[in-house]
Amino acid sequence: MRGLIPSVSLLALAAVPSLAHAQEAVADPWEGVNRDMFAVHEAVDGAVLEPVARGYRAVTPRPLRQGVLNFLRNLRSPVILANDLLQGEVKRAGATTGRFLINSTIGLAGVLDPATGMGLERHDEDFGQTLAVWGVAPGPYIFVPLLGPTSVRDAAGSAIDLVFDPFTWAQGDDIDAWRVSRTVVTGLAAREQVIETVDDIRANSVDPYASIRTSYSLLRESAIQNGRTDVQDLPDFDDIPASEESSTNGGGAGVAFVPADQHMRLTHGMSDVFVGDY
Amino acid sequence: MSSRSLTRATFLAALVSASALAIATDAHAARDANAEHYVQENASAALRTLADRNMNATQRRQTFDQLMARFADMPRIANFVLGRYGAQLRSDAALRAEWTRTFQEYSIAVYEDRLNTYSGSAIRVTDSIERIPGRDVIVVSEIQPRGGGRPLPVQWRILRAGESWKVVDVSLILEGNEIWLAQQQQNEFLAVLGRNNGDIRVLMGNLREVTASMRQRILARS
Repeated sequence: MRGLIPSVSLLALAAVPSLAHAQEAVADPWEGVNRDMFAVHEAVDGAVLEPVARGYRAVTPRPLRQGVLNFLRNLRSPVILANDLLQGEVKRAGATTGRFLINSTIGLAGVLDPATGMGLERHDEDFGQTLAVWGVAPGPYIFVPLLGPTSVRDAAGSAIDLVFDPFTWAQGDDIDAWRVSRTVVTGLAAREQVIETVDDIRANSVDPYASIRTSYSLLRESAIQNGRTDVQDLPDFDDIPASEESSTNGGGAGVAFVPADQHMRLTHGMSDVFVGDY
Repeated sequence: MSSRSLTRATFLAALVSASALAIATDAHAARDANAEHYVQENASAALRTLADRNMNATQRRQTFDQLMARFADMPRIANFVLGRYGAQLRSDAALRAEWTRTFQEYSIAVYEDRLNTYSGSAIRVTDSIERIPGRDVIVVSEIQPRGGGRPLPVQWRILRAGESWKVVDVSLILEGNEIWLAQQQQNEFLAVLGRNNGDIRVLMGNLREVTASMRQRILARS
């Protein structure tokens, strides 16, 4: 269970699909339009986003890029904290607070991440996850050019998260410029992180659109469960009759998932870009 | 100090206290030492093979393929990734053989495409969780990348068939979120099959195209 969830939402929580159920097909009633949007995204990405991301990587050393990521992640702390609390996750709210205090001070305004070394592992939350914890179903899948995959619930959650973001309410002469800069740098940093991932999806997937939709769905479910899988929820693997197995088990075999670097980077990319994590 | 600021301070103090709690580790359930040993030995052997400079690229790839054939239950995985459409294979042994071979070739091409990534990495098994004691176990490990960096958490789901264990799925835990890769593969294939009236031959055709494309790329690099 997920900590101190208000009793009123316990029944609703029971309706949240487990990881085992996540293997069911994602609801994608607008697949035709979504695939068109995906094609638009791919075209824009190939023409603009990818070249810019590669350029960013070429001209910046890795520690600098990591510092940018850390800084952006630290800025998201209020949003994460609000959602930790709305989900009744006091322990995780504590971790978020501790990370924010430590990284904003010792970590030089969030550029460094000494909190992780102190045992305060980073996690992410957003209002889409909070809605899921409250029992709201994801609704239809949506692919938005430039923003990537989402669902009706998660898109609505993203809008609500703006309310928790101090940048939304900040005042000042240059605040609009700061907001635009933050958005642009966030997108750039996110795209740079998944250069290899996207390359692999394009090269190795039989259906890149479905591959992204699947990864998004599975990682979202895991994020909603805070990465806590009950092993009893894992699916069964049917036995293969011995006579059939012997006829299919010859020769050198590979493992679709051991070459995990493809998937590691794929899923890493998904978690960073498509689950709103940067 | 006003009552409002006191409330804020109390609230903040509570959160900071909770952050200390967050550092505490969780207790865990029963382990299976035999399963842990199996994963440690076999995964280490595979990684050693990748780093073995006494073999040429072809020998290294063949040895790695053989190791993985023993380590993973490919027929069972090939069946699993078809989901409900796998029922077609029960009455058609020839189709099952063709599908399993096609899937294996695709799998081999995928990892050969990225073999070098794990050369020099090391694995350390840290835990295990029994789903069905002695038969279905999740082994928890960390892969330490070559040259340092943060270890990557990897979980291996292994099933005992007869006297031997075999891997059927692998999960990665990234930024705290978990994904089981055979499940991911199943979802992708189900999407393709769903758009083609469940025709496994269409999926095989797609896989062969992708495999051929990867083969060309691998060949061009070597």
